[in-house]
Amino acid sequence: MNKIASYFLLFFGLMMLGGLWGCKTDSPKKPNPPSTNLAEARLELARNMANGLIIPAYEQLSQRANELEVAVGAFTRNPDAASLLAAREGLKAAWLQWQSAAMYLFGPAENVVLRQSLATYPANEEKIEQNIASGSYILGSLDNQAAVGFPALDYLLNGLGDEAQVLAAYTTDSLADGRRTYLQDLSAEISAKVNASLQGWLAAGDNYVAEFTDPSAGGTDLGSALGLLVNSIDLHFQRFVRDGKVAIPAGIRSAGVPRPKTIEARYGGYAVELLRASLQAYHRLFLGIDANGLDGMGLYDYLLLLEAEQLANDMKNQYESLQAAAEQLGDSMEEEIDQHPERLEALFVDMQKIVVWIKSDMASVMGITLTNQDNDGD
Amino acid sequence: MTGIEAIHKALHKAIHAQVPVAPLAVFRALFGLIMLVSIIRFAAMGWIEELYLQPTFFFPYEGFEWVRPPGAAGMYALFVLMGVSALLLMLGWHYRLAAVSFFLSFTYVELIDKSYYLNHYYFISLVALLLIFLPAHTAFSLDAWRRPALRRQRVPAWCINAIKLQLGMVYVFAGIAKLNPHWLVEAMPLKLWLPAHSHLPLIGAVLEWEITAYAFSWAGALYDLFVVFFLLHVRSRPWAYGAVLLFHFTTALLFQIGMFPYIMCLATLIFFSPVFHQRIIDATGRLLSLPASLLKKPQAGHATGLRLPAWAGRVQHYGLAAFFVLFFALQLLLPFRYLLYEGPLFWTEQGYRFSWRVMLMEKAGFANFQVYDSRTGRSEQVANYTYLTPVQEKMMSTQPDMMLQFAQYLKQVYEQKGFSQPQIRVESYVSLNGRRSRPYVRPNVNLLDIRPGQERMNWLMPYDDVTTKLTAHE
Repeated sequence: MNKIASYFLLFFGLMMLGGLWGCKTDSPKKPNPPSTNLAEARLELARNMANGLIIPAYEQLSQRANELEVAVGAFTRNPDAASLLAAREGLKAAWLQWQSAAMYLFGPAENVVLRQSLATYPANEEKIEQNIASGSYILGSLDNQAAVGFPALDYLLNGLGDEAQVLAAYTTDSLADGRRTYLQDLSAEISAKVNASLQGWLAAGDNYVAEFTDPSAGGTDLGSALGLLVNSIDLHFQRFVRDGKVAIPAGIRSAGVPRPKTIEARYGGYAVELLRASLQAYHRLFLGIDANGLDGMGLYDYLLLLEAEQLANDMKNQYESLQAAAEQLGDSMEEEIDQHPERLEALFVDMQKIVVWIKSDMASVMGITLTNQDNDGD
Repeated sequence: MTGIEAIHKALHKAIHAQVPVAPLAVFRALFGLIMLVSIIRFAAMGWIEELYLQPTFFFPYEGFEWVRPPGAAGMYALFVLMGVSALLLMLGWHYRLAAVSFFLSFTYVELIDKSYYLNHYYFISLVALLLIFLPAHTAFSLDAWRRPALRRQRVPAWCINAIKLQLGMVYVFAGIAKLNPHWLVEAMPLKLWLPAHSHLPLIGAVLEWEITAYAFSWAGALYDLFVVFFLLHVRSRPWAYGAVLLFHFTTALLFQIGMFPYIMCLATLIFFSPVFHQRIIDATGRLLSLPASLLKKPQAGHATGLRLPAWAGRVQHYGLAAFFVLFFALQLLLPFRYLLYEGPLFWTEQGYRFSWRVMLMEKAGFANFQVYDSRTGRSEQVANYTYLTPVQEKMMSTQPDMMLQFAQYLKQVYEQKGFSQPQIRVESYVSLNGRRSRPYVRPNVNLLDIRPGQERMNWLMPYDDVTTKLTAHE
């Protein structure tokens, strides 16, 4: 027994010595360790995201959606040039605000399939017309996802011809009644889904905010606040910003053949503005700048605490140059695709860098697995 | 007595000595039980659907391209078969048949897609293969209850030692794999992974200390290297088993590694004495009020089972011996096959799998494939998510052999899209152990020109500082 015990002591001693030696060889060139502890920083990050960015984004979106519903109601009761304009502006304001909420795909938004219900495009015009003609539809159903939301409203408010033709479609056309009803149902559906997401987050509602900012969600595994956030922006930025807003319409995913029909808000013609709003929202998210413009704990700050200064600054600079590049684009995406495809390709390449850094560098230093599904590791 | 004689004698004893069957019987029952639990958990998580039914493309192992998911009904049937086999193993009912069908169904599923490779799945396949040849049903089983002729009190020692040797190899090779500068000098990847759990109550704060990562790295390496020897020794055994519990429960708490810790905690019980296992059998009997005839110790002496003609007995004897020698020799060699290839192993991963390299590095990457039409010169960038699930994409992005397989698949897809003689290049970046990402595959290489077994450093970017430069952050 003694012999065994002494072996154990020997190994334990070796282990401790090894630890000390390892520390000594590594530490001299490093700055002092951060005084803030990382667990507290992650909690602060979750609180800032929830209370400073996500909930305010839904609150404002909810307001815009309610205003849109009111404007659409006014238009359907009395379709004229002024009420049409108001409805169109209501749509644009809500759609722009959506860019600040779109990347949070988890939690209440996931429960009400918010993104698919609000922003599936291109809209399926045939399906919309069928729904109007038949008068029987379930807006929340899976096969109606391309017949609802902002893109469907874009078609119905901006895509039926010139102003006179649009007004005619809601007044003299044989299906005018059904079209007015459908328009109203769409805007009510948007309001309902947005409000449900907001209520899901609020402490007074289903209180998802408590779950999101609870210390037990303060790790980096898949169910943690940070894990959910980074998985969500990884997926959303790739598919719905890089590809949805740029690569697909520009033809980068179709052997260089442009696909102008896949432009976001193609009838309203403000795809570039939506892109700019989205890039700005991503920039703010990364830095942790809340709805009031206050700079709180963001991914950037957390990377600094992890002593990944170079990565943090590379990403910050990249978000800035993406925004600058989007400013350089003309206001019409259709013209950009037609006349300056190289500008969109350059933007795509720049976006790609962000994707690389999120997927490899950031995921590694944060210890996050970007698989969007839980799984056993090795 | 010379040293060689002593070794020969010890070896002879380890193989031929007659020892009580209880440890083997308990191992069989526990293995069946934990497999049944694992399979039910796997199904309950929705992973059958998610991992094997949703993907449109799978990454088969070389030589096993014929292994494919047999459709939705087939896949569920396969898991039912696997679950029933595990249950039968536990009960010791139609044991040989159950062992064969468990091994085949489990291994078939594992071979469908490399993306889901886990060392502990490999371990389960190996143990299941071993069980086919071991008389683990000759006690504490329905088979033995129903057919008294089958009952034995003793079995040759090799039947139990084979499992101990298998467990020993897992640990020792996992330990050897940790003897590298990343692990020992940099405390990577634990330096990245431990602080991610610093929100845990009590131990949380400690996990952020750098010294903790070093202590865990070194303790982990020493544990893996030596625990099995302490388990073998009767006096140190209780302490060593305490270390087993501490080690595996710590990993279960900190890492998402599913059932593996529990499987190992149960499997290592086999190192305990026959008396200990007989107590487990007796206690189980009392607990479940099993009929005494199921538990009754058979008559002393060892039944030899089936009476074979002398020549057949010899064939069986030497055949079995050859199988076991081959089985373990192969496992001894596989972990070292990486020495046949150039380049840092962590970068190329050539010879990485099937070597007990467990949780050894943090590697993440990105791969953007571009397909060219040789005739027209037009090209298209591939959206990986169109063809791959997030897990598959993540795994493929850091493993060169999977990139080649995906490129071959893309070739078919794009030929159907009308691309003539497509060429496929990939812009890829990999981050290793928290370093900044670097270009991975050489960007000018047409992946369709690369043979699967080809030396990877011929088509990957160099990564020369992996062992020389030891700073964690650039």
